[in-house]
Amino acid sequence: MLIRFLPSLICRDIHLGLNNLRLHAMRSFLTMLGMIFGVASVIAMLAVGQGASEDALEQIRQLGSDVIVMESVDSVSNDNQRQGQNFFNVYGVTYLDVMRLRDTIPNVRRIVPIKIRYERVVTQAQEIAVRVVGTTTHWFDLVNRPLVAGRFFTSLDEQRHHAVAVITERLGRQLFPLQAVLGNFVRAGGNVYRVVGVIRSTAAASNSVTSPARDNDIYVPLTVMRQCTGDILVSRLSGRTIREKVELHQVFIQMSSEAVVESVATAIDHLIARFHRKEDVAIKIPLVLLRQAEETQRRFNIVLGAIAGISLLVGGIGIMNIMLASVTERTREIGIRRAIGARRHQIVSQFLIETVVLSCSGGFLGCIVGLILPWTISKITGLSTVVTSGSLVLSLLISLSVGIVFGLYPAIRASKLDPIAALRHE
Amino acid sequence: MAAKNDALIVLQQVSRCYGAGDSLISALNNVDLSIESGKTVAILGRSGSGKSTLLNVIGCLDPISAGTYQLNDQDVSKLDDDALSILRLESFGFIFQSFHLIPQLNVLENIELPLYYLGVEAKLARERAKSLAAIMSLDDRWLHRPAQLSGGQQQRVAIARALVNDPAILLADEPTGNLDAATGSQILSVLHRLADEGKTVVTVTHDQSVAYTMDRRLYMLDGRIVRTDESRNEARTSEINVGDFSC
Repeated sequence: MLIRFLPSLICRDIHLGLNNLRLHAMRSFLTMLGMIFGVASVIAMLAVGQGASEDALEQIRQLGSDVIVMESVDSVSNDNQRQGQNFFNVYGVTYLDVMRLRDTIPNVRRIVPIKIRYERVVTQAQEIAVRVVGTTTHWFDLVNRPLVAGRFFTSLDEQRHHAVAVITERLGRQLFPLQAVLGNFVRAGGNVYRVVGVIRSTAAASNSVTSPARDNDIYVPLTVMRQCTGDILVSRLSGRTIREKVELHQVFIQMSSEAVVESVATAIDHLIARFHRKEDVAIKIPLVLLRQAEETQRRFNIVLGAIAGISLLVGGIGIMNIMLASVTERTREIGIRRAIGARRHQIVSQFLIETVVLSCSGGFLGCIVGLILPWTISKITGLSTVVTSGSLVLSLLISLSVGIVFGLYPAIRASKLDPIAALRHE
Repeated sequence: MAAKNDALIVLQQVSRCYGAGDSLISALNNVDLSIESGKTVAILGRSGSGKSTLLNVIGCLDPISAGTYQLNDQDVSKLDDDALSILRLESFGFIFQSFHLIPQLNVLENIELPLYYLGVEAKLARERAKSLAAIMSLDDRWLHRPAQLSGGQQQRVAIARALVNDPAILLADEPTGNLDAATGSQILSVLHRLADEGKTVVTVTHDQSVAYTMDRRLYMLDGRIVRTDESRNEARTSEINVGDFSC
């Protein structure tokens, strides 16, 4: 019989609990404040942490986790070496390396070599620093950046050495503010390219080395770039002449599946080591970077969560305190209920439900504050914050368990009162 | 005295002691008592004579220290806390001097409280509470809280609450003690009407005029029943020294 009526009994207890909270509205609210801010801080801290990581993770993720990145690294550490008049620094990934990779490494989906030059483009109004990226048409498959107008350059452009370029939207607006971009010409690094396509700029420029996407980019066929500018870079810097020969700056190797990435990376490492005397090639695996970033993020979240958890604990203790006071205050009520015939467990459940109602109301209000707080933080500081539904559910579950844990002691104490002594209590 | 198997409440050599060791206080001392179903009994005596303790013992609120207590041929002294709670819930209705209503509940909620612990469906409980409130002429006060009621009204709510689970025994601890004479006699007539309906009524009182309306009067002194008086109404003029037993 009890089982059948249990839902209605709990409903009435919840109703009674809400009644009691309403009777002492101010006190209940002050008690709940602890929970409210505890829950809100849990949500807000998780949101800030989540937002911070999502930016970094997104950039790694953009490349795809099935990609291996090879980068040319200037291995000359000794500055005295550079002092020599005829010093000629040769390093980095070579065209030959790419050929070897193509011939020896299995499970490769596509290999995208990249050659980068930093140039200045002079227009009538200004001088714009740009990055000229020589690559193959596969680059556009690898990095998913939508075409705004025109077309990507094709393998035919590469084969026939067409001096064509795909530029970013932002650069297009800067270079040709009042003209049609497509079909116009851009002069960069002593060569003139015809613009055939415009791609969308990425929203946030990052300093991540693995990201090939920048805002002022001109993408041209590698064959054309190699033919026009060669591989040797001579620059004069504060009276010194720097001579470098770098054939390729980056090579992206996309694998057929994520599973083979790490073993292939090792194989590439061995291959490179055999043909390079210096350690001038760095191999980076976004998958591993992603894992490391996620691990860092996880620790960050634990620390933040622990701090917020302490505030929840304090909130819980506040609730227990008030419930103990409430038990003392309502001793006579407990005596009356016991005299009428309430069993001990019924008194326990009544007070427990009251505490849970209190803590869950606090938790619920805390969720609302927790939704407003990150929004405010983003507005004021510009940090991106992400409130996950998981953190909301987690907070509500925590407030429920705080209610049960901290409500149990006062409730049991209430049930252990001697009915006669409780009745006499004034 | 009626035969034992007719009796509803039988106390044999019942003692109730508080404290321990040197500070042992004996509130009840070898009390023998037997109350038949449908009788009205008044317990009289000065303060500290053990009247309230006797009432609490009968009502299974207070455990006994020695002796046996049989309610309906069931040995109550061997029951655990939960079983005693159920017994209170099903067999007894308590009416207290200071009403003991729960302040944050309204009239109907106070009345239906025992039904709530019995697990009666909310709708049925509400109907029963309403009908009892009507009998106690509280129809227009359903949603008032105890603090908004007069003493007599509060006591009527308390009586309604005591009756809501239809108990066999009504226990009243000075039911008219906090009320003026007119209201007191109203409450008293309610108790008598219930006795006429077959309920056993045990009441603790200081008031001789209340006591003399009962079937039987027990006079207590120092935890013992020193005298039993069974006459009704006509005993009003008996030579008992009232002064001995009033506060």
